[in-house]
Amino acid sequence: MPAPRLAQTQQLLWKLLTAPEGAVAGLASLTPAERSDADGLVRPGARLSPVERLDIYADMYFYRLRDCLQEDFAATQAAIGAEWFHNLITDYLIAHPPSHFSLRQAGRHLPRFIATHPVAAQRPFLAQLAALEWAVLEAFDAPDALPLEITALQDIPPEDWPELRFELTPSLQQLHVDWRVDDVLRSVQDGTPPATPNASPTWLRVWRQDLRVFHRPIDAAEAAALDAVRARGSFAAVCTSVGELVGEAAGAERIVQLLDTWFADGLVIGCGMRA
Amino acid sequence: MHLPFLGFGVGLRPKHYPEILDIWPAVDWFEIISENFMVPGGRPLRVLERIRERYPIVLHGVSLSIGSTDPLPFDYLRRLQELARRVEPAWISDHLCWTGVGGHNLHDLLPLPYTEEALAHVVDRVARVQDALGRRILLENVSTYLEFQQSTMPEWEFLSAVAERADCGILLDVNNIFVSAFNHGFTALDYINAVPVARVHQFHLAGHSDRGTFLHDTHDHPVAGAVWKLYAAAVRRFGRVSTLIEWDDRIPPFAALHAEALHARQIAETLHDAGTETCTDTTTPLEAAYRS
Repeated sequence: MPAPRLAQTQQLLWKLLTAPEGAVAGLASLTPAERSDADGLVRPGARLSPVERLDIYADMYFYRLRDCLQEDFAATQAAIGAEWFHNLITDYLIAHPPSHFSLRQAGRHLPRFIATHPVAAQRPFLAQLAALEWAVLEAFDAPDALPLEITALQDIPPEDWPELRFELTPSLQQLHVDWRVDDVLRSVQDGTPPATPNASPTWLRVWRQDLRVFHRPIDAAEAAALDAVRARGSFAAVCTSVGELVGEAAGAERIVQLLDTWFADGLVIGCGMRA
Repeated sequence: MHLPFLGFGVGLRPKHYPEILDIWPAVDWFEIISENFMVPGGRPLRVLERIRERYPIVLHGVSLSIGSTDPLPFDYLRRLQELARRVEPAWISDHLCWTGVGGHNLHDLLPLPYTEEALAHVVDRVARVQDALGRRILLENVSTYLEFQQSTMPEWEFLSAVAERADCGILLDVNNIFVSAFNHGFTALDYINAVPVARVHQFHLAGHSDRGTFLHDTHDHPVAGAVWKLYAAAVRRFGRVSTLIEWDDRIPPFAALHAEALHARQIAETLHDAGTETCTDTTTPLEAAYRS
């Protein structure tokens, strides 16, 4: 029987090494033709059979990824415990085997996967907690940007303000959550056992200031204002979006307060007249 | 292929960033995992830039997948090239292995069958990668836990042939030779003695774990005594070669890692005058030395 070509060998190994219950189960799942190729694929060693040798790699595949995801989603794991997390990751890797060159990207589909997984019925907040952890990771190595000082606004003539457009730091992300999953993340970061989060819908913003990543709940007015800025809306449009939520009278004061906060947090990296 | 002798370095790991940036230790050079820095921004790149100002850096990749039958990852190569422009590394290395197929990445360094088909495939890809990067690369022998029935040559012959035919360099991982020798029952010194001297531009040293039925390349221990002996044999054969200690799990304080690099220096400098004659002491069973 001719040896399988290199491409066939690699496809076969991929099936065997990623089989969730190990190489024996992987062998059982092969087609008769694949099974015939697999039977003669690996030499027996002095101390290990071919299947045992394959299982070394199968174990390394799963545990390397589980350990990486455990690190990237520490709060998600803390919220469901190690055993559930292990089973969740087993299912996740079947649905989303890694395809990116970087291990750092292995968890990019996990938040959405959790939303469709039976674990979501037990822990309905879990997908949003995972989404927050992923946003923190994304902010960690997002592109660098130099924050603008608030003093830059002093030189802008009053007549230009309505058409002024702000540019926000690329690390900034905004999530709408139904539970205060930020409390869970903070507990885990502080080393305290996480409690079930309160069902209290809010927006969260996640951003990096210099090299530190922060997350903070924000109200609907700030979320709407940030949406307007991100859509390259003019300052007038930002004011309108805030005014619709807090009323015209309170709107002006709120806008000033938001600008102060955004500049203090290093969110604004540019402003100008062009859309 | 002329590469500088960098001395005795260690792998750069985030755990050690604060200490390195604080005391600027007298280590000769650092090697980084390329993929960990192929990111848009943030702390990794900021730290790397500061460290690069004071130390030579080598880029060591884990995802080139030179042996894969998937198309060459040109987007990956473009990003690697960007990182190289930023860092100006002394050289770039990766592994003689494959890491994925069918668009999937197993994030593991998987062995190739040592056949003429695989050899031609890898040689062609190395040439294309070197063209894309505009420089020659080093390829490292990996620790392996299985062998293919279809292999028609030993690993050292495959590695040497890749280097000669593709005109690339070799990063010889001494611990990986030791681990694979135990796992497959070959003599480690046969490997050392078969690799062409002129192709070897870097050594790797690391710790491994004994799993009873196999040795596991875990990078979570000090370099084993028997691996230091094999390193001495490698130094006798290959001469002054840049050497690097890898430690990736259960990472010790920086001083302990640095001490391993200094031990490598001591061995190499002691042997430096011994020349590059072939080591013929194949009678010492390294497995037995390890067991003792």
